Amino acid sequence: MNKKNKNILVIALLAAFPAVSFARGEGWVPKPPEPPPLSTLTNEARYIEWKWRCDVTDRSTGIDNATACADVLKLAGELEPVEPWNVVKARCFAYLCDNIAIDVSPYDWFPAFACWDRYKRPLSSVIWRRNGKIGAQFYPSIGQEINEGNRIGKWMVWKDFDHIIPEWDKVISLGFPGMKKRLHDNWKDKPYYKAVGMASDAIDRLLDRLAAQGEKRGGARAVRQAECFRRLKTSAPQTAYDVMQFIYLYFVLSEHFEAVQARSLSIIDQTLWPYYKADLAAGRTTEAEFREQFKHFLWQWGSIDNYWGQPVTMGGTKADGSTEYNPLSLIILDVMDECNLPSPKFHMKVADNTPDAILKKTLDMARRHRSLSFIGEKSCRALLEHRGYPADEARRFVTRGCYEFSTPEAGNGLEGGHVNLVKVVELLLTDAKDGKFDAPDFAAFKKEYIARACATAKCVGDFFYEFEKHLDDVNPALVASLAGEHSVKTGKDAMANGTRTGNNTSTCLSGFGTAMDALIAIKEIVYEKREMSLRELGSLMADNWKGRDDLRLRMLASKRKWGNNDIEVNRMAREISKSLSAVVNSRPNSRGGRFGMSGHNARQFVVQGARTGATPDGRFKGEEFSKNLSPTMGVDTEGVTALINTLSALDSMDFPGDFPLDVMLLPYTVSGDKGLEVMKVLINRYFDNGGFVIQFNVFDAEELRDAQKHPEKYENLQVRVCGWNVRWNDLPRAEQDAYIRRADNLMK
Amino acid sequence: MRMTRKEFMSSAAAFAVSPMLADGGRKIKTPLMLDTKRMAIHDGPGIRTTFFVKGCPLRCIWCHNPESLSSKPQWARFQHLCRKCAKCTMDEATCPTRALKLYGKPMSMDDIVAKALEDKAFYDESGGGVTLSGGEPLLFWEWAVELFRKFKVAGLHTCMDTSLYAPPAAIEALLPYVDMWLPDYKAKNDALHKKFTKVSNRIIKKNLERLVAAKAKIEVRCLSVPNCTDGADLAARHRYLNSIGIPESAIVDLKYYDYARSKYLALGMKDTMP
Ligand code: SF4
Repeated sequence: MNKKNKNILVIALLAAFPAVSFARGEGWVPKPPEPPPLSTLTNEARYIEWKWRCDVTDRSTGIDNATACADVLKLAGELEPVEPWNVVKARCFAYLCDNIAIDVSPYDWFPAFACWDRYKRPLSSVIWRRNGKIGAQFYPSIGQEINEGNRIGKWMVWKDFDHIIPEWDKVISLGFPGMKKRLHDNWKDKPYYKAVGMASDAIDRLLDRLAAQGEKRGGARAVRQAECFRRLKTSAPQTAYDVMQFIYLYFVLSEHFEAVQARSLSIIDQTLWPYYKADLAAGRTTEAEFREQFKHFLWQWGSIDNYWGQPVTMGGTKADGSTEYNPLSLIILDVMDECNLPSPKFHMKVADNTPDAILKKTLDMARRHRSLSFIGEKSCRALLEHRGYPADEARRFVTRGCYEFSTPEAGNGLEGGHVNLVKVVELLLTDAKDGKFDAPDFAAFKKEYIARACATAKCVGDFFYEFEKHLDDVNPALVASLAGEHSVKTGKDAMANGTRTGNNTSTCLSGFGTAMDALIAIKEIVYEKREMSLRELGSLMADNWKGRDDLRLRMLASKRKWGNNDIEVNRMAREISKSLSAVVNSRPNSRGGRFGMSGHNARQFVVQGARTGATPDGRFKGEEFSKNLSPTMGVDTEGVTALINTLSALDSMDFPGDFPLDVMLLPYTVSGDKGLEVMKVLINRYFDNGGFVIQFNVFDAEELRDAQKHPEKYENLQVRVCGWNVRWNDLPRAEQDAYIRRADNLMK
Repeated sequence: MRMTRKEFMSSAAAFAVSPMLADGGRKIKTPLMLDTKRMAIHDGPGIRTTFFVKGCPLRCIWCHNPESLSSKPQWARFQHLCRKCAKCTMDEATCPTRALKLYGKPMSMDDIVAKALEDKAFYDESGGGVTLSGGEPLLFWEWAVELFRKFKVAGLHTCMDTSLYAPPAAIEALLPYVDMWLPDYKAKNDALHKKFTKVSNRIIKKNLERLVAAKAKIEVRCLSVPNCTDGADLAARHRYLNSIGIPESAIVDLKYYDYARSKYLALGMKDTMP
């Protein structure tokens, strides 16, 4: 077991209590690198590369991470019986701000913190211990059921604290002092205000510490940083650099200090442009300096290297209908291209008004494996309006997480579990094998499938309904609350019901494509060709296809698969998604928001695949599923146009969570100028059909095979996994093989 | 579509008993199809679907589609994939390594048009359409006329990828329905043409000139095969094409690759590639 997995296990053990433990869905992380001696980090690239992979802080400034972990666990234990929980968390947060070791290096434009390791955040243990107590107190009866479902892969349910984002433009216009003033203007004598106020004061003290450290260290960048910290303490950000520093500090305070991940870095070109323009006009900066600062900004997340990638949105549409892309957009893209990092990942808003230069540049970058997705503005706005948001709020939507999006104010949507649609097939066939279920025809089989899939989705919703009643009892979001206008005005925590129009929850579907393939295979084997009974098929699946490789290969090679634009499969998929949508969408959650169905499944296509038996589409037990709404890897033999047509069989309005598509293309089909035109047509077609997000992998199988054989030659090769890019060399062998299979199919 | 030998024989038989009838009730030659390539971007403008017919009257030694030469169905077994099972399945679908491939399957004209129409939205947006290729589609020109008539009724932009080795009547009949011709011009020197393709280029040149006279839209492809049809002959081809009114902008030089050797082996054919 590698070091990070061990850490996750430690967290899971801390979370364990008799009735409920929460299996996190993030068990897979790339192998952590061994840090080099600190004395070798003597230039900006080396230093920043390692600053989020080991402790580079000045130990004379405070305590290390291990001490911080132990100290806050002890502190919380002592305070929990005597103080409200949000105040307890605020005291721990303040303790970290006052005591954690820091540094302000002359190699860097941004500071370093000893709490660098996401898998050992000091407050994580505190929160998971609290989680155990809350679970035991309020919902002990469902704990067993959740754990069992997680174990067998029926669903994956855990509490999500990782998708809350602030209304960036508003908080940047206020800055830390403005947010503090707003809090005091609305002050009431309640634990919420006390807790958020303590967090705000602690941030001020941290800014002082950082400024003092910058002044102590000296050197041009350290001094400029110190000046910036002093400005941020007394005013809203004044310059483009201040804004980047503010976003960075907000992220670190939220993610690493208080264990609530801020999954967006704003619509960055729109956010920075007025400041950058003013800086240039006043002679405060140069384009060269901006490029360097922005490169350092990106490098931070390159160093943090969370496998899911940190999203950055770009572009959009102004109220007058013109594009939000501006001259800075191209500079930002240039720097991003040059950095070639898997994270941050860029979400490019695409509309009719998107300048051709931007679209061409980003499509070209996508075919060179840069970490980019394309977001269809028209369909995202239509969805939000369909959900009742005013057109102007919908216009200003932001992306966060993998592909989720919301209006700027409604940024506290959370992920509410993954429903394994393939498991439903497996369990039905198991019942058939055991003589507990039979269906005279496929219509009856499908009816039962839909009933059970809907019941599973409802059940996952029920769990979250209970969970979400107590989210802020477990992990109140202090920084996000300070940043939220509605939260501060109403005294409602941002993790709970702290936004006026958000507080929504996504129910994610897992293995959608594979489930469709399995269902159509059952139809063919049992009801059309009558090669065996449902019971016999159930036994064959339980035996993992033993003795029937001929049939397995035939089913695997069948073109009746999700992704090949087969009318029958498409119709069935639409019927099933409509049924699930009726159960999931618009159901109220317990935070005053709504549930919404989501088409993405993070890494559950691997995790739940490993926990699911063989299926009649030719899949062996334990093999991965299709990911997102895409076809099973390697079965979409009809090509990308058929794939895009397939997706149009679904109604994207049924997927308010997101509606993403992964497309794999051969390099020669997208080479040259014509290749860019082709990519443009593909995204336009997908968006015209209601698609929200499309992302490309451009490879040929030989290149991937070579990369498998000679990893050393492909250090920088990235593939798009779910909503993020991953280095090819970090992918497990089985997943690499799946990519190669899919690329092979393109060659046929 | 993957087929067992049995399935193929029955569908081929069914196809054979209902051949297409030309005007006047005469039977016309109908090809078996090799493949359908969607999102083809090198077979004419925009995004296209290319249909490949099986059968060709030429025998170019460098042919990279040896499976397209004969108009009859052919099995191929790719040696590098074959596991040499105790009993070969002789079934594309259940061959465990996908080493088996059956080239040449019947496809009705309506199915071809329906398949082409699936991507119409992509053609409309990209200025693309449908391309007929092969093999040599004009070997089945009467059939091609019917097919292209249907393509035009369906509102599709059409390209014909051809060697132009066909009777002038074929060109005349197709002129109204082909939006763009993509002829190959393999060698200027007729002795070389005969040596390397086994046929004379006289009729090809005549057809080219006819297309120019008819002001048809043309993009001529000139393959240059090292030590066969490169250098002087390539230059001569350009000169000739220019002289009959085809500008450089309508000529595309293609490089030769010998990527098809495994197919010769798989089909049990003699590898003639230089
Ligand atoms: S072609 Fe396929 S089925 Fe036949 S012997 Fe080879 S591997 Fe086996």
